[in-house]
Amino acid sequence: MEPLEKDFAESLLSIFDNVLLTEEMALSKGYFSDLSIAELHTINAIGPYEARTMTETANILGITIGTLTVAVDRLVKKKYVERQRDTKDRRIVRISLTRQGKLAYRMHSKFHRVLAKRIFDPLSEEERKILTKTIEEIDTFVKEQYKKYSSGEQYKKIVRDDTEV
Amino acid sequence: MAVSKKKTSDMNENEEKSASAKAPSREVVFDTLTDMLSELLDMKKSDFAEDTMIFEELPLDSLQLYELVVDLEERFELQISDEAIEKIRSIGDVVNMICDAGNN
Repeated sequence: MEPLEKDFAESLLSIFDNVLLTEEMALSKGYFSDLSIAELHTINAIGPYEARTMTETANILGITIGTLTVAVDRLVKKKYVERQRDTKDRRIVRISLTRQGKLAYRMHSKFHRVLAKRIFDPLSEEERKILTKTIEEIDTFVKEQYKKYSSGEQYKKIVRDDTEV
Repeated sequence: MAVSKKKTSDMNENEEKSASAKAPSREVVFDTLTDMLSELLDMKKSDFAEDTMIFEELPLDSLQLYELVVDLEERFELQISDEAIEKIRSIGDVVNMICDAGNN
């Protein structure tokens, strides 16, 4: 690995760790100290407006309905989420954010906007385009890796294939 | 769109038209907004005017700002984006934003 590539790999890893750490710290010291990062991401997936079905929300988060049910139960108890039956089809249960849930959603999205603004501000329009395109490529690659690991392929085979490249 | 009228999935076209026909008057919006601000900040309604600068003149923190936004969305059935919030300077700007969304 070239020195620049090594520095880049280390910075990338540091960003992953520190964004999560900072989010956790901001949560524990802020207005929503009873929420975990995972719960905040569930709130984010439900979104502030139209009520969603459990299936839609589970798909956005890439988790099973069983896992989501446990998370939603906890968020209902903490008064961030409410469940209601569909007015037309009583078999369908929809979930939406309470006022408190919407506030947590807004505050969390502010954290990400402040971070993006701080990174974007010193850059030219051209640099912003290049950075956005690069970040999108990284995102696509990471999502592909996630799919590979969650598709049931043998873990050892994936690791072997990847190290052979 | 930065600020838009909230649509519910059950709304048909006629209901949408009648919803937008019931756009609130400027006086109603100003009155509701100053009610919310006076409760949120424990200030008198007479402390607020259309030209009051929200961030410079009022002790509003970011959580209180979002409380106001969420309550306005609920009260006027709107969706207010972060971009729209960033453009707000005065109480009059908020009133304009809500009246314009109601007329669209």
